[in-house]
Amino acid sequence: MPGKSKDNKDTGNITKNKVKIWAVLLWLIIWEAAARFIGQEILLVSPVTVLSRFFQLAASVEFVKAVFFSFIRIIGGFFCALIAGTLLAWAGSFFPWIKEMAAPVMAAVKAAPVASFIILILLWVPSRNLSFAISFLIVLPVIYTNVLYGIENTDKELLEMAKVFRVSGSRRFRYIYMPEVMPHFRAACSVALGLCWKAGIAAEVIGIPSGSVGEKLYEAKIYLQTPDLFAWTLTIILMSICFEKFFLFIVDKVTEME
Amino acid sequence: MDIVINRLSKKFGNKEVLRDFSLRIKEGTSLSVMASSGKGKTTLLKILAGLETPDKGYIEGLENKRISMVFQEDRLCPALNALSNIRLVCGKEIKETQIYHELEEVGLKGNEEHPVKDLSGGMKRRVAIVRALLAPYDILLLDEPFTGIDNESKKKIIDYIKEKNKMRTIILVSHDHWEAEALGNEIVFL
Repeated sequence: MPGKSKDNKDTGNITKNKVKIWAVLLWLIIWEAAARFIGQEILLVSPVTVLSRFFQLAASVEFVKAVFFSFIRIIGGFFCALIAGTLLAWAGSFFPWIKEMAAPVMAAVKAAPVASFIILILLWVPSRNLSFAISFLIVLPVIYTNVLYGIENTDKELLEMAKVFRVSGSRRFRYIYMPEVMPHFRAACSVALGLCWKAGIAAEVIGIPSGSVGEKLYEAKIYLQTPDLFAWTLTIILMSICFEKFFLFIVDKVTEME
Repeated sequence: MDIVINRLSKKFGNKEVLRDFSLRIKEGTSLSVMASSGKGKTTLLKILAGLETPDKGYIEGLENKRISMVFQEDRLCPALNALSNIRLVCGKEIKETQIYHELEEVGLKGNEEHPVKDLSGGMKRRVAIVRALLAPYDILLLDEPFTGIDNESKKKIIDYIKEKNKMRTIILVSHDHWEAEALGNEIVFL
């Protein structure tokens, strides 16, 4: 089977806006100084207190259960949308009526406020599955739009070449469509992973499903436990970043293998 | 079986590029079609390759015939190297060693595993020519195949095409009279 040239690194040439350690440290110092200046934990908690509270929480079973509860649902919604969006984009690229039918729905989902969806879906779905549904809805148009764009922008001349030479469908997919679609797919995943955590946790804060990270955030707000609020926020950020890094690493490996 | 082109017409918008064009191409012949730019040479080849549909007329003799083609553009997958671009289109009966040998024949030794995007224009054309010759075919269509190739190499590549083609039908379109004469047994003007 044909393979990519050894020195092809196209997919890895995206300019990265890397976070520098010195910048993080500077902001932490500013945060610490601001917290000391204000002197009221309820208004602004210091980073040291946040870290300390985070490790306290992380040692509890309840923490692990809450993280697992939210992770499974939000990432479950992400994966379902990933599959549905990709399949729908492929179908839309071959059958224009599917694309035409999907267009207003995708536009509506993109434009409507997340809160409206959360409230609407709460009427239909039990609150424990709300973050799954919201994550799915937020990710779907992002994946669909990007994958469709990638497919539609695949080099027509190469497709004609494949037709003349009777290149099989699987080879066309792997060697003509994939190199074109994968950068768009990767970018869509990166954006969608950030969005699904934001929207999924927001849904949990509104729906308050028992045992979720969203519920913990809500409780922190109700009882004015600012250190808990920051510690749970840190947890969400870490989950989001770690999963995004892991997932994009897998996507990059698959792209390299292809 | 001969290829019979019967009163072929094709328009793009208001521009008529082919009008009632008829031709009989004997099986196994090397035909050169000459015309200046914009006279429908590429359109004719695209119709023969099944990439365009004529507005009027029809072609006989293409049934169950395998087409191979050197396009006016290289049409190589930029992410793949020369070897892989050729393997993409040829059957399993073509061994990797043969591809290396053919690439060496056209002066591409040492460039087999370089990404095609890093090759010069002339080198890409040679890869496209080797690809077309190694793909299984009954009819070879050549659309200005020697663009970007120097005159000395051009002679060698024409000899190489004649040697590898083994009496199968070749249809070359070109605006270069020397190329048309060197490769074609017959020349027609569009």
